[in-house]
This record gives sequence, structure tokens and C-alpha cells, in this order.
Amino acid sequence: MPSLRAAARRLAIFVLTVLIASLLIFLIVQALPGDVAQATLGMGASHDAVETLRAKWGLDRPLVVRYGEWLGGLLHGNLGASYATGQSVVSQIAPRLAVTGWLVGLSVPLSLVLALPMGLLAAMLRRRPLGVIVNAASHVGLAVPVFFAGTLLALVFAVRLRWWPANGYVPLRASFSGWASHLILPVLAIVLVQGCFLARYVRSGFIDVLTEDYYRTARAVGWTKWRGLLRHGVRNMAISLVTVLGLQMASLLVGAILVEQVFVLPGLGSLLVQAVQAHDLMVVQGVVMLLVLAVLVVNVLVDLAYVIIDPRLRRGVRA
Amino acid sequence: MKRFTVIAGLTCAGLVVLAALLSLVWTPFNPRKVSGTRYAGPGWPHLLGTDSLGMDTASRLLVGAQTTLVVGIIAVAIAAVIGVPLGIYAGMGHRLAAEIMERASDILYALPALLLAILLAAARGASVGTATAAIGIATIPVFQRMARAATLTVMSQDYILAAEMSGTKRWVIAVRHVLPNIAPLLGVQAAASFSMAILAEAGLSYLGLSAPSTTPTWGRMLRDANLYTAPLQAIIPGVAIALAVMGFNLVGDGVRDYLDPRLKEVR
Repeated sequence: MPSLRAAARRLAIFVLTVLIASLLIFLIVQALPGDVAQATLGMGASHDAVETLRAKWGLDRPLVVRYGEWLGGLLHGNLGASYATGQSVVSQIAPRLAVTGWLVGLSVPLSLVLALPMGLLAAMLRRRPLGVIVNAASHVGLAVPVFFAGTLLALVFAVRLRWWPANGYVPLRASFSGWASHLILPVLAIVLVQGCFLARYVRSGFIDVLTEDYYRTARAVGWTKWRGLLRHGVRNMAISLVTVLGLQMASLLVGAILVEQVFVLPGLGSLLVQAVQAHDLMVVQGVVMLLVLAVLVVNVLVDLAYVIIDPRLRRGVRA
Repeated sequence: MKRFTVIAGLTCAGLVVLAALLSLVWTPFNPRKVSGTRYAGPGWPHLLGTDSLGMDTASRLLVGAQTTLVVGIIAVAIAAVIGVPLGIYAGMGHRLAAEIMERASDILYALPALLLAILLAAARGASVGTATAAIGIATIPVFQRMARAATLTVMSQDYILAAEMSGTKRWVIAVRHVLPNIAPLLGVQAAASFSMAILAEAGLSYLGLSAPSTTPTWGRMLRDANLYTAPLQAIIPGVAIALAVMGFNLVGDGVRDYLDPRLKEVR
């Protein structure tokens, strides 16, 4: 069973990657020179006060012990307690998970909905004005930072037209229309930027298909351009698109963090920014670990998706 | 068409560089001092108006170009200086090293510049230094993968075989034969990474994770703008960021097409 062995190998690599990532995150936050206790109390604090705080947070214990404790907790779904409030980190993350989850979860499919027709149009009409315009638009979209896109959307639709609110969040359970109206602009900001990015890959993917023998054959037996592209192009292009989508996962999360700041959404991003300002290391460590874990899991799913999209990979898969 | 985009790119990138150089010797007003009424509209003497404190926007925009360029240059330099030797080493046939680097790159891809910067800022306090380091480190895998792939093609050439046969040392081959041959590709990568670095820095200063509030940066100007009273103060720095990113992107594309016509995107 070569595919089973490949899956086991992929899983082993995943576990190892997660472990190393956790060590890296821990070391950057906890082992770099610079004292959190000192930073929290200010430079003028007395030596005794700093030492007391260090002891209270457990910072006087060896690094290995602290890492072991954090990792052990991690495996049990416990990310430690916040330095600032003493609350458990998990209880701070939980209410915010849905906000960031919706933001990313809605943005991925919607950016594909935008990118596919955009890329197809730009590829099919690449020598005509419309195709050139679409391509140029995706170039411009690539350069616009997601927080500026969000700001512009807020300016037009919230400040000027007053169609949707410029900030805040309403949970789905409380009211659907409130939830939707608070999410529409943030999601749109991410979708516009990501869609333009993905559209460039869709475009070059379809252009590649146009030069393939099977496309020429399809045309020769009388298929129309569009039918040939849609029947053969989509699946062939899906591979490169899934790869890019996997690589873009990290940048999607970054986009969500920035957009949360623009629209004052109470998600993981705003929690992170607050925690950094408060030097709340445990919260920062926990949230970053969670986000990195999400990206790594998506990468595993991407590898699985290859096999589903491309049957040629099913036999003799070697990761 | 191609020529037009290159010229447009050079114009945008050139304007940013000019703005940064000009701000070293002259700005209309002191960019760090209040010089007029709050939220003044564009006009004379404040060409682009004033911000929420009454500081001159044009002056702050010019000075902001400095941070943008300096962070970009240093971050790309960090990434290239570390990533290129690693990539060449992995590409010259060190299988185990290549495998380890590949896994390390996977981890760094999951830990983008923004998250790295957040970690560094949490531990050490946010500064231009932590932002630059984070962007630079996050860009290392890009250069490493690029250099490795390019080295692999160079290594299959006959002149490398000839050099090996004549007993040339490995590191001499790397410096004398591999590096000059992959340099053009690295140049293109540097331009592309530079615009990504500008984008990342803007995001970090938007979150307040880069330069301190006393230093004018485009990202912070955008964040501090009030959308209700003076929306223009948000649009100006935003457009500046977008033009800078697009400028260096187009320049990179142009250089790539010039160096290797086969890679031309419009077929």
C-alpha cells in the first residue's frame, strides 16, 4: 500500500513540523534578551518588584521546564494563563474564534468565485481590450494593501452611503442580518485583494492549457473554445490553484488580522494586537501557535487535495 | 504595451526614491511638529492638507518614503544574504541539507512576517528593527528556494563538470560559476520581494508594530486618519503605498522580461 505509507510519512512530517514550530514560537517570545516583567513595570521599577513579578509569572524557572509545561498543556488544549488578567488563554480565544473563522471561511470560497471568471476572461480575451483591462485591474489589486481596500470600502459604503456599519460585530446567533451586515465589508476587502492575486494564477493556468495537445485535439474535433477550456482547463488548473491557495493561507490570516483592525472586529487579530501592547506573552504565544497550526493543517489538506484532483497521482504516490 | 508598463513602473518607483531623497534635505514643514490648523484641506501652504493634530501631510508623506525604502532594502538584504548561500549549498548536491531546508521553509511559510513581527514585538517591544528583522527572516525561504532551483540548472552545465574535473574547490565553483549565473534571476526576485516588503511594512506600521509614533510612516498615517472628518488623509498614504508596491512590481516584471524573453507573460 504505497499510498498508505505516503500518508503516514506526511503525517509524521506534519507532527514534527508542528513541534518545531511550537519550539520556535516559544523561543522567540521567551528566550530573546529583554525582560517582560521589566517592560511591564517600566524602566523605573525597583529590582525587587521586578523579581516578585517574575516569580509570580513563573519566569524565574528554567526555559526547558516552561517549554515542557506549555507543550504539555498544548496537547491537552490548554494554552496557559494570561499574564495581564490571569484568565486562561483558551477562554480569551474562544469567543473570538468565530469572528476570524467566519472572516477566513467566507473569504476563501468567495475569492475563488471572483478569481475564476476574472482569470478565465483575462486568458481568453488576453489580446482584446477587455482582457487587458481585467489583467491590469488584477495588477492594481495586487498592489493595494488589504487594510487600504478595507478603508476605501468603509469610506464609500459606511461613511458616504451608510449601507453597512463601519465597525463592530454581531454574532450569528443574535441576528443574521446584523451578522451579515457587519461582515460584508471586511470579507469584501479580503476577497478583492485575494481574488486579484488568485486571478493571475488562474489566467496563466488557462493560458498553459491553451497550448496543450489535448486542447488542440478538442478544438480539432469541433469543440468550442469555451467548452474545451471549461472541460479540460478547470481540472488542470485546479492543481496550481490549490497549491497557491495553500501558500496563501498564511497571507489570508494576515489579511484577516489587518481587516479586523480596520473594522474593529473582536477577532483573534485584535486580541493579538492588544496582547502585544500589554506584553501578554502567553496570549501572543497561544494565538500565534493556533494560527500557525491552522496553516499547517491546511497544507496537509492541500497535499490530500492533489490526489483527489489528479487521478494520475493516485498510483504510487510518494509524498 | 510592455514598454508602457515598464515606464509606468519606473515612474512610480522613481517618485518614491525621489521623495525619500528630497525629504533628507527639504520638506515644506517640519513633519514632526504642528504647523497649521487640524484637518486643513489641501491648498496653500499645506499642499495635501494637515492631519488630526495639524501636522503637514505632504511633509509626512515625503519622510514616510524613507522608512518604506530603508525597511525594504534592509529586509531584502537580510533575506538574500542568508537565503542565497543556503540555496546554493542545497542546490550543489547536499541532499540532507536540502531536505532540512525544505522543512524549515515550510515552517517559515506558516509563520508570515506579520506573525513573526508580533512575536518579536511581544518579547522586545515594537520598533523598526523588529519589523525589518521579521520581514527579512520571513523572506529567507523565498530566496533559498529560488537560489536552489537556479543552482540545480547551473550544476548540470558542462563548464561545472569541467571545473570539477580540473579539481576546482566546491566553494570556488559556487562563487565563480554558480553565483554569477544565477545573479540575474536573484535580481528579479529582489525586486519582487522588495515590493512585498513594502506591503508588509505598511501593514506592520498600520498595526503600530513598526516605527514609534513620532516617526511618520504611511501605514500609521492611514490608521490615524479620521474617515468621517478628513477621508483624504487616509486616501493619500494609501495611494502612496499602492503606487510604491505597483511601481517595484512592474519594474521587476520588466527586468524579468528583458533578461529572459521566454518568461514573457503575454504570449
